[in-house]
Amino acid sequence: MSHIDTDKLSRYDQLIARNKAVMLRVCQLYARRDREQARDLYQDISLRLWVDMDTFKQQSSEATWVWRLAVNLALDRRRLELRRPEIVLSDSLPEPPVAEQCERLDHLYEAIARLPVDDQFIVSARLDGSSYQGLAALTGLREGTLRVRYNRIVNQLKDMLKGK
Amino acid sequence: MQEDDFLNQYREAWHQDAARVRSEAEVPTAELHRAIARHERRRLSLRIALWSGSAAACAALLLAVLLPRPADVAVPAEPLLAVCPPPAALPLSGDSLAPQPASALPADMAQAHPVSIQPFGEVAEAPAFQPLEALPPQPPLADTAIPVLSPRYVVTDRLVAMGESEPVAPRIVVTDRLVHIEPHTYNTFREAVVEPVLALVTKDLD
Repeated sequence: MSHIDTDKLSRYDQLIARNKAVMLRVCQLYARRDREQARDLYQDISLRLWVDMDTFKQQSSEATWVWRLAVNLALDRRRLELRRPEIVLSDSLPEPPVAEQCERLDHLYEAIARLPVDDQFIVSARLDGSSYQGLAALTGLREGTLRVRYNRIVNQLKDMLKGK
Repeated sequence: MQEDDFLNQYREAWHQDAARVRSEAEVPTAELHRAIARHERRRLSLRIALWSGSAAACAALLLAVLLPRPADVAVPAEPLLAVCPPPAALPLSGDSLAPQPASALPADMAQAHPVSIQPFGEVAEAPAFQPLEALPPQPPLADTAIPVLSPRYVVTDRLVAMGESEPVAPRIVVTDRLVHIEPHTYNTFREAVVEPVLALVTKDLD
């Protein structure tokens, strides 16, 4: 590790500690089905943060910047996976039964993934239990703006999840 | 609030999922540091390889520019392999595949510069370079490009042999001089020499 800037490493550790919840939320939304994929995605996000951390221009809040970086990475990985041919190990394996609650949650994840990136951040943070005050501190938006925006997001989700 | 009532039905499942993903996905700090160290080492090695490759290409180009070209050497328009005429033109006796002694060749061809392409990995101990005065007049040098016979060789008065295509340490034997090199041929040289070396070096790093 002698060739690595220790000051940068210390700043990096603090960046990860501040934004770990954000990174894990992206893994939950985009790689929850596969343990290895989720771990790989977390590591990829961490490495990308190492590479790009000094390019953060503070035009948005740090949490929003991390969220956008992480979601873009997750979407790139998803596009790559879609291009790879699927390997079917056996046709005879039965589909595992899906719990009803699990299926409903799947629909919620799919609906959230279709929202704009910043709206995904807001709704997932609220689902995690963030207060409007906490969210305002994370995003740099005013509380009033956040409430209005969140209301709109939920109505969009309701429309998408109608009948599911 | 109304919007929270709607999402409340998902909250418990969401939290269970979040706890599971947290336990599965989170990578310990020490492991992240090791990944960063690997990434930085690879980035450094790639930079060194690129610099080395660029330095080798620049050195070769510099040699081509600085070393004197013999003014009386005419390079044939055809590839150097065609310096020797096709077998049909030679006087044949007995087995047509048997090599002909030098005395059986026309006097002008006895002076011809034989080019031998050795099997990969061997560099031919080529005979001393001889001027090609015995050949009929050839187009001026400026109009002639030295062809690349294959991605592995650049034809000169001797051969530049490339390293193996398998991942072993690349070995480059550079001749004492290049006969001629033009800008577009330099690009071919770069493709033939520099880029394969870089590919081998970076492949070894993986």
